[in-house]
Amino acid sequence: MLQLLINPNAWPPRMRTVSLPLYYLLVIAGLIMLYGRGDFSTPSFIYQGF
Amino acid sequence: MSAQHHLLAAAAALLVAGATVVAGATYARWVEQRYVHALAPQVFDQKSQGSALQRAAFDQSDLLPIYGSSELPLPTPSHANALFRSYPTGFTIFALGKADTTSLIWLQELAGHALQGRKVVLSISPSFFQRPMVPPENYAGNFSAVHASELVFSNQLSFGVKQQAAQRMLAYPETLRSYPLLRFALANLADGSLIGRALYYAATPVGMLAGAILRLQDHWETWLFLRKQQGLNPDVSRTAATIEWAGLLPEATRQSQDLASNNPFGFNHAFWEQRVAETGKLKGSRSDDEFLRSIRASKEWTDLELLLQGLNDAGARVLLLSMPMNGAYYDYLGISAQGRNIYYDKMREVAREYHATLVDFRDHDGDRYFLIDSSFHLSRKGWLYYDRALDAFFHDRPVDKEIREMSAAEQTGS
Repeated sequence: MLQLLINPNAWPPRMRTVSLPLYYLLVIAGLIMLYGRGDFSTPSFIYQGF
Repeated sequence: MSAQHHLLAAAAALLVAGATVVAGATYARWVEQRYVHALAPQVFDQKSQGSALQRAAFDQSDLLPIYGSSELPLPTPSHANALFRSYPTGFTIFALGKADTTSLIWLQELAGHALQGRKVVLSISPSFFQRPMVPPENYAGNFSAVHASELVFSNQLSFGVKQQAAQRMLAYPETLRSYPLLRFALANLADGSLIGRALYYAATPVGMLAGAILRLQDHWETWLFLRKQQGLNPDVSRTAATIEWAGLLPEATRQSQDLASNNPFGFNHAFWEQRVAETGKLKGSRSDDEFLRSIRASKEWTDLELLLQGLNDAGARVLLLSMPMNGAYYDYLGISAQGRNIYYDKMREVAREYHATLVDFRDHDGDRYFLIDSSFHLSRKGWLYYDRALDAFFHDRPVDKEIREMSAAEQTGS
């Protein structure tokens, strides 16, 4: 069972067709999660009024 | 599995991811449009640092964007965000401001918006013009990569304005350290040579793509911000009413006087108690010569002219509200009325050159109760004058005339 899971070549063709795009989608989602957040913070400063 | 299978699967995944991003951005824009009226009076970082809410505001015909600095986040009963909260005359303000936000930052903030025929208000402090330039840490504290990117790759600003703005932005290299593409585009834009121009244009497609990613991040951060606003009602109440300026002004003046009764300058009590010792040492510490030198050498004029030229390029209609100086305090420092007039005159000259409507409140130079401190924060009375100018500008009435009439009525007590 485990061998079947870790060897996609042994999967039925229909399962492979569906799982491969899902795999790439997960990769893209992972990249977005890792690098997608913006940083809109700014360093603080003390305003020297006049 | 063949390479063809992998390519097809990756293309399908990219297509789905792309469609999801487009759907997400469309949803985010819908949410921003829905909440922009509820958020209009508030001042918070994502509003100033991002573009999404500002863009949503410019799509609304009943929001008047006002770009200022530390006077805007400071709550006061007659603050425009309080007086116009229920849209008494058909609009409210969309307030944007953090301490020491000045013209070069505003130019970047405004560069990415469709401004043709739109009204924009700029609240200006004379303190901006009394130093060589904005200190780097203050500029960095207001810098936004998304705004900078929108300016550099803007298609509504002329090349000349972008080039001069790039030269000024490069004076703050620390802010560009984390953005190599932006730095590269700015350096080549500022360069002025044919090769520099070619490299800038070569970087433009990538820069626009990077800008699009920054805008997506902005939508995401704005959506996260909105999620945290528990109980924020997107449906704001609107109640038409006539503002009784003649009745409000004596009341605001009385309150401003009551809050500033312990000192000769009209500063509010808390500020005076905190600064009384320091103020004692400042008598005669400045002079007309030093004041005029600092006014003439200030880069803020360059930045203001660039901003106004940029707004002209974009077709915006501009109201400049320039706060008056506190004459009694400036006399005490050693800067005479004649010296101060140089500033007022120069501001008029700049406004005239760029066809901006200006209210400089110079006849309130001797008014001790227009500001609450020496850092150019408006009093209740000062805000009421601002409010009147905003109302007149929004409704296309002659702003300067109404302010002069308001001042005259105050003088005569009618």
